Formats: sequence, C-alpha cells, structure tokens
Amino acid sequence: MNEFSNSLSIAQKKAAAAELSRCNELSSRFGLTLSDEQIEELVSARAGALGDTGRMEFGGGALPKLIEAFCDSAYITQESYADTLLELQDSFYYFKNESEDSISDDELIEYMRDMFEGVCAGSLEYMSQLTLDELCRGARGGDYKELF
Amino acid sequence: MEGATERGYAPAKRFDDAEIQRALWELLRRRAVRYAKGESSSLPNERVNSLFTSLCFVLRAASRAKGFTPPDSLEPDVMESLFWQGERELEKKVKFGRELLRLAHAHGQRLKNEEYRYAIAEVESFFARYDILYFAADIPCMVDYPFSPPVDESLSGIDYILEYLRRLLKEREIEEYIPENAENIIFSDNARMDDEALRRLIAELGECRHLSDKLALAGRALHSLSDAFEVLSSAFWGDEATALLNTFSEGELLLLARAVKEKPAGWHSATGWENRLLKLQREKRGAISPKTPEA
Repeated sequence: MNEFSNSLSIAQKKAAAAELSRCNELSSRFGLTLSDEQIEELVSARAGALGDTGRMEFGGGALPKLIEAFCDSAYITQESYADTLLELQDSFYYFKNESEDSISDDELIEYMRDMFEGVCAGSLEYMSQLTLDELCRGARGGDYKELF
Repeated sequence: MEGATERGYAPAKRFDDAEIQRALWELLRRRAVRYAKGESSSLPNERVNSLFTSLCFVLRAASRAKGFTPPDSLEPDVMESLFWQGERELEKKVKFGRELLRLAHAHGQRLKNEEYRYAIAEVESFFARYDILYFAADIPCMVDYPFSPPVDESLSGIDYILEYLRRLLKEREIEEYIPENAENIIFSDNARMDDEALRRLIAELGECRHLSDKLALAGRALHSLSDAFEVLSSAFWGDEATALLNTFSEGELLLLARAVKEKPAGWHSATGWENRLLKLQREKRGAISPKTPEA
C-alpha cells in the first residue's frame, strides 16, 4: 500500500502522546507512570507495529485501552511497565491480524488480559507463543492444561 | 492519497493537492470508522485500500452527475454530502442493472446454453453481494463469459457489470436474428448422407495425412448441417476444428451454434469443437459498442 503512510503525522503524534500522558492519571494509582521519553518511544513504536503488521489506525490506538486493562496487574512493576506496554502493543496488532478482524479491540484486550493474569502468570514470552485459538479458548475458560 | 486520480477521481483543480489529500483522508477515516462499527481502531492495509478505491469510485459518480463542476469547498460536511450524492447515483445504476439482468434472465430461460445461464447466475450473485456502501468498486462475482474483445478492465463495480450485461444482451440479440428457414438457404442442398456414407467419410478423414486434404474432402462432402455437426464431433480435433470452421460462412456458423444450444444441458462433443466455434464467433463479431456508455 504505497498511497498511505503508516508513519504518524506530527499532529497525530502529539495527540497520541497527550492521550498517553492522561493515562498516567489512572495508572499512577497502581504505582505505574510513563515518562515523556517513554511516551515518545511508545508512540513511535506504534507506527512500527502497524507497519510490521500491515495495518492502518484511524483512532487513538490501542495503547490507552491496554493501559486501562493492564495497569492494575500485580505482574507489572514500574521498571517493566514501558517495556510491557511495548510488547503488549505488538501482540495486540499481531493477534488482531491473526483474527482477521473477527474480534473487536475490546474483546481481544480482554482475552489478552485474562491469559496474562491466568496461565501466562505475567509472562509476555509465554503469551507471545500462544496462537490466537489458544488465546481465545483459554480466555473463554477452556482447560489450560489441555492447551499447554 | 496520491492514488485518487488513478482510481478515477480527479477533484476540482481549484484546490491544491495538500487540501485534496486532507479532505480525502478525513472522508476515508470516517468511512473506515463506520465500516469498523467502532469495534476496531485499525484495519488491514488491503481493506483500507479497497475502501479508498470505493470512495474514489463513489466520488467520481457524484462528480460526473454534477457535470464535473468542482465542489464549493472541501470541508468534511461538503465531502460527505458529495459522497452520498455519489451513492445515490450508483443506486440508480444498480436499479438499471437489475432491469438488464431481468431481461437477460428472460433470455436465459429460453436457452439451453449453459455458459450463458451460468454467466447470468453469476451476475445475480453480484447483485446479492454488491456492497455499495464500502466496496462499490469491487466486482463480487465471476465474470468470465468470453467476450471478444473483453469488457474494458478499467471499469469497476456496477459500471463493469452494466457493460457486461449489455454485452450479454447484445450477443443474444445477434444470435436470435437467424431466420427460420436459414438451414435450407445456407447449406447448398441440405442433403444428409446416409449413415454408411457418413461413416466412410469419417474414416477417410481420419486417414488424411495433411490438414489441407482433410479440409478439401470435408468441403466436397458436407452439404448439410447435421453432417457437418457429426464430422466436427468425430474427425476434427483441436486446431483442425478451427480450420474447418473457418471455411464456413457466418450463417453456417450461426446454424451450428444454434444446433449446439439445442443440445441437452451439459452436452459436450468428443472433439470439443463447440468451444472453438464459440471463440471463433466472438472473434468474428468484434467490438460491440454499448448503447449508453455511462461508465
């Protein structure tokens, strides 16, 4: 797709950064905040993740929703917070493609959250090895032992 | 957004490229958000590309309806309004297309030509699947009826199907102009050989080493439609069949085509000459101009 660019315009980047900055209000209640540098890195990584997965974004992106869903996790510390978000963002777009868009953003984030808190026990490496089917079945209350 | 012109939408020259790009981007963004129904903030590039192609197709329809006069501005509301005007124009075309389909379907009911019926069934599926809101430039059905020359590939969506239907109808019109007594007029005496003579002829044709000898023998011996039909079905294979058919007049070819259509559905000769005939007829027929080139 040559006609469109996956890179975000300056205005879009500013808007995305402002939105992530606002997310600090919520996440700080759980001891998690993003610095300006980390926010900038996450915004840049978003364009990269979209490019890698061959997708285009028309809204504010998945990060605010991912922050909202994961910020109260006991498995995430301030030290791992930004890196975790980076990996969650990559996984999100990967699974979105795998699902051929049959799963809504909210549903997917819910599945990811359930698995992260459940069988993955906070391991992003574990989550990255899941197939979409495993993710969905597991999150819907399937037998984890059967899956792994 | 540089692809808008290639996709057939060339907006008014009074606006600069950057303005046009911003306006199209905003319109595309709105279409994408509606398409995703708020469930997804991102879409695969291919889907976005299709949405954009459709968007340009719809805007072009609106622009044409307005005599290609430029819009007053490129504000989002104006562009939205232009888009919906384009949708209405396409809806009119769809309605007209359904009417053409009804006519083509009526023709198809009277025919035993399976290929024609299949083409009609496919066009019916187009109207069932056509997504005028988001993928108006797509052609969601098989369009492989072999016209010669083929339908202009630069046409999209309903424009392509309208042209396709016009061609189908035109083809039927031509074929139905065969007079009732044509067989006696066209074949010199229309005298059939008896079975034994026909068997001998087929055997002799099989022994000919050179195509020129084979054609000369067939030319001397064939005086009826049914004999020509039998000989083509038994003794002329591949390019040989085309070579023999090329020795027939246009009228003889039409009669042979009619005889094929009168065969039961699914009938095929051992040699497959009927496919060669179809191809040859289309080649001879050449270009057919549509009556109302709206595309």
